[in-house]
Amino acid sequence: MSQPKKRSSSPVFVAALNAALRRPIAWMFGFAGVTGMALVASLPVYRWFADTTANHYAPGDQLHHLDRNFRTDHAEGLAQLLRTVGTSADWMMVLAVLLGIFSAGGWLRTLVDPRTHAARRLFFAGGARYYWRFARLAVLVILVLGVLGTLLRHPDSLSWQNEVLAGWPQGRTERATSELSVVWMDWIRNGVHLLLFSLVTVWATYTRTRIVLQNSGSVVVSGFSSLWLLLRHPIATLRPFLILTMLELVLLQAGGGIGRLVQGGLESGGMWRVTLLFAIGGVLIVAREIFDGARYAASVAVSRSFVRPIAIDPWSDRIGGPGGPQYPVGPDDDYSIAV
Amino acid sequence: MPSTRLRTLRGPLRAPFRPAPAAARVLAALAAAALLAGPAAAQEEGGAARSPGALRPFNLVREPLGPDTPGGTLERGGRCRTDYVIRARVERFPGGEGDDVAGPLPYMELDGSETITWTNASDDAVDELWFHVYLNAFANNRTTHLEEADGRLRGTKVTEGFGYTEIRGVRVAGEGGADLAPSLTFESPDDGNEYDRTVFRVELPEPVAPGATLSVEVDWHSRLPRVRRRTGTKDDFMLVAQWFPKLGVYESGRGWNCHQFHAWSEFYADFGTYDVELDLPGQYWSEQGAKVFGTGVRVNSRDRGDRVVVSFLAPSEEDRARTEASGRSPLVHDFMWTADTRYVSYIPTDENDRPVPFHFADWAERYPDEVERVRAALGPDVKLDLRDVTVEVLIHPERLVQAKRHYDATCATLFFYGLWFGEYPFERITVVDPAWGAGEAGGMEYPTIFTAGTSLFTEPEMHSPESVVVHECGHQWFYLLAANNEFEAAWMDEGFNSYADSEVLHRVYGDSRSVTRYSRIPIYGVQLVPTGNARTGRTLSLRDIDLFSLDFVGIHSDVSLQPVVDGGFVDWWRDQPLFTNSPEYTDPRWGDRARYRNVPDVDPIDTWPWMAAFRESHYSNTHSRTACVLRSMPALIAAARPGVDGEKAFLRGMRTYTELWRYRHPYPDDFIQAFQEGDGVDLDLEPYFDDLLRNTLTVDWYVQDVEVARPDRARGVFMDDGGSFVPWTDFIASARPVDTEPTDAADGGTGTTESTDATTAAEPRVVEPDSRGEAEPDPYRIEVVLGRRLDLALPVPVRLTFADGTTRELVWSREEQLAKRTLTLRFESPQQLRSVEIDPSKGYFLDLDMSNNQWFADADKRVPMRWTERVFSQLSQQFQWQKGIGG
Repeated sequence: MSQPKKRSSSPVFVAALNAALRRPIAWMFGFAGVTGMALVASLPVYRWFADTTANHYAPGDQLHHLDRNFRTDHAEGLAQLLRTVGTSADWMMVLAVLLGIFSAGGWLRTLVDPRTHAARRLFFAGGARYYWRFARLAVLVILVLGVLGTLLRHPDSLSWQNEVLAGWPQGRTERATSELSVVWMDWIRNGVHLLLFSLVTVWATYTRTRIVLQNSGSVVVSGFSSLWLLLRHPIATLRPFLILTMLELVLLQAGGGIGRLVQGGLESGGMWRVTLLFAIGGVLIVAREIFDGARYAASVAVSRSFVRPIAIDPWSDRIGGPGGPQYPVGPDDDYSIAV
Repeated sequence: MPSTRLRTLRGPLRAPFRPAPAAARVLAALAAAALLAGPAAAQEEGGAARSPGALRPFNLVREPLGPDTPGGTLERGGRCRTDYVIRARVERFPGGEGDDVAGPLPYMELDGSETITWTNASDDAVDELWFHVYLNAFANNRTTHLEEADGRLRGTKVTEGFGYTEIRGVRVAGEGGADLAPSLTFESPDDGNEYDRTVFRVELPEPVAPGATLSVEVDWHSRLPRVRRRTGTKDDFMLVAQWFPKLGVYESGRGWNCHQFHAWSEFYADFGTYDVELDLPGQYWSEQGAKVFGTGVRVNSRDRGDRVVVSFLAPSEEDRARTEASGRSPLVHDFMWTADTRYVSYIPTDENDRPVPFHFADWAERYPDEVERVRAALGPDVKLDLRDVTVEVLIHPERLVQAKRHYDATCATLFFYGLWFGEYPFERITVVDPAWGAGEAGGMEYPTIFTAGTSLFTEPEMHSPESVVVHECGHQWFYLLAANNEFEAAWMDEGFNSYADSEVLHRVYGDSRSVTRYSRIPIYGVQLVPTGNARTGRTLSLRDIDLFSLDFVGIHSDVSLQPVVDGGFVDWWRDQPLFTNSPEYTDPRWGDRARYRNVPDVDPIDTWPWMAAFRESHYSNTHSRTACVLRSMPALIAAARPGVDGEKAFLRGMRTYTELWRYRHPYPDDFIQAFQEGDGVDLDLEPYFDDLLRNTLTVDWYVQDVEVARPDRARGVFMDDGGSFVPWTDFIASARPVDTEPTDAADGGTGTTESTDATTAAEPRVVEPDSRGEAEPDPYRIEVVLGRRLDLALPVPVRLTFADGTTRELVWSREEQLAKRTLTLRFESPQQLRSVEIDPSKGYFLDLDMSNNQWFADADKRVPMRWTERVFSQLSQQFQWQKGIGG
């Protein structure tokens, strides 16, 4: 019944992007969640600006940028508004993490199970099924990132690094003999941080994938297993992620450039330019969601090459009538029911 | 050199000095007269038993100038001349962890001797000399300077790197000159601080008669401090200012003006010449010559193996020989020098490798309109051409790419300031970029040389270092040439210069652009919404998760987890600033207003710095509020005298002041008097200056209400002049003439400028004559109510704009505002009112809230959407990224 899996001839990242693109429920879910929260958080901004600028400024004023007088005259009100929005956003950051936890389960479930026609059901089922395991993993990720961040950026650590690595007495940057040496130290530190941060997120992605593929209940065991996988096959595991990230970077920078062009003509343009900016923002979020999905797809594809997958639940997808014999159906099974 | 044991006075600490009321000043003057009547008694009081707090009128400046101060406004001090010949030798010593004074860094010690030649140009016979020794401000953390700064200088708590000066000898110059050291006492005239040793005095064996000259020799030994504020060393970098015992300023009728070194004030010294020779370690010699630079010009430099000897003349021989149109020759009033083994000297050269100086014609070609504007203001006979000046930039190798920007900004200042306030008279000007770790030496002016300050990765649009270069270079006019007493009227240099530097920046560089830095790399724009607010916010956004305290087991730690760290490449990826940053521009002229508005009314501008209520009040007044006052003057003059070009009048007033007080020491009254004499406007500005400079009055004009109504179409019949009832159309066609528009003002400019009388302005009917009798809709009935909050009353223009584009302008006068806080305008118009604007050209930078100065009939609905979009974009990108932490 089971057919040998056909290997795709296209590179992993292309196949991954293709797979992610074909699961609109997953990226639409992320898009809706993220933009919904951002919209809710930014609503007070609309109200405040509408009240503040109404009849007090000539048409076109404050459209491209808030001039110095506006920022001065409304300093308190504007600061309070943005602080309030920022505080709301801080709370929503937690929701965003929770959303990510759910979304990860959904993505992996839909990617592991090829039935795209059932993607919506699989997405929500996957999100719910792996939620607590992924939540535990998220805590682990935060802890690891926290330790990294603290080691690299805590003032005591900075001082130690400066003294030991750069040779500045008492670790004080002012003791350096040139600004350039301080800049290089900063770049190296931040570069290492970026590298480690990225590796942790890649490791987390592979860990999630392994949890799904092997239906593992232990986040720690899966974590170590995926770490071993990364160490054993660094090129195969990291290459698609690197390529996808580069592509995402290019796309985001292009989006940013277009956004700046649109903003540049705001004062002479109508409402459509503002709408276009909204649209660009939305498209970029969709794109980032698709790239997130593609990373999962790449992770699934790579992991399958090295990890023996265990059926998620051999009995969850089955054929057979009620009360009668039940036959589990694997992802590669081709079957039909004759009536 | 034998050390002399110096007698010091340790009087009891006194409360900080406060200016005495006028009555007390009169009493003080009477007491002074009595003392002067008995010179023997006065001499006796000058002995060792005298307390530093004792009343010694006419010998020591203790009070702000006022109407009771003898001497007359234009005749006060600053006429004396002091010439210095200085020789100094510098040695380098290694620091060490065990050295509590120097700290671990190497330090320098300096032995110097000087001959001071002082010419008493006052009307008084002077029997003592007062000196500054400002390095002693850095001797310990109990000095007045450090105390006032709470022990922190430019952000750094001073715990090491102390510096000081010991006086080794003071004597009258010449063979057998009297030894003055035995009479030396340290004084603390401002606050009685016994730990402050920044001022000393010596008694002379016989008074110096008016017009007589005295030469004094002083020997001293200094340890140069680690540079924390303006002066000191760091590694091989030396910026040595306020380094030699320097005579105070004797003012006719007021005595010695010789304040302690305060944290918030700067300097005051006689004009004169400096002949300086420095002997430094050999490391300051390179293939290009000595890496030692200073005020004036370097006339000689010699490599003597392990030593470098350099000589300076300030001003240069050539400058000293020049005579300006006023009959005066260039002089300076201070000497600073700097040395660094890493300095790169940048002077642009032409194709023949000849230095390219600042050249007026090049800049006049770039800004012909400005030249014409100034010519129109000052008249065709005024010589606007400026001399060529050699501009040298001393910069560090890593910032060499910015050398041209330093050069250009300096040239821009030489051009615009020269055009507005008169020529920079010296042949050379030097810009210093302090070494890394010595930024505290930056942003300071000295004669013919100044320090800037920059960092890697800046663009001209950021106005850095351009703004600091222009500001410090600008001090050559407001500090060096018009050399006000910076202790007592710091606003006359800082404020005037802040005004002018913003004008230059605006003209040359336009608005500055704000940036957000990621790993020091600037990205244009700012993130609007601050996330990670407060402790909870930082935890929620994963920036800083506090770990539980282990205090209960005796472990004290502030360790926290920082999964998301600010300021690096990671948050660049999170923020995606290219797309999510919001553009932010700042007109440099309006930047002054922002700071003024923070502390607008705590102290008068004309306040001695250390008597200000608090530091920010002093800074706001000295820099920003003064700049706002000056920048508002054109609007004030134009509104008070309609038809007068306020900008031109202002320029004339400022030019008169700067020319009259060139190489002199003006006080506030001198400025006011000179400005009024020069502005060419028949307007008494004294009450305005009184309100603005010597009071704490502020203002907020606002449009309180605008009502526009079009009543129902007239129905029924109306009685005409003949007593008959007629239909409305007949009535309007034949009835009494409609009120015509008020007579245009004499300026012939805007066409419809009204009189300023509020009572007549209250009910003008402005229906266009040709509308009478036609079956058109009735005119709009318009009521506009303007208001004024707070107590400053200045004449302010008001403009009304109608739907057809026509405008009506009027001035709400000072008298009207003092009589009533509101002005109601009621009138009828066939045209819909489009806008009402108080101060439409935004000339009054003193208005505390300009957001309520306008009313527009149409609101721009794009604006709230635009800023909602910016916040939405920023947050959605951040949420999307944060989502990735979860999965």
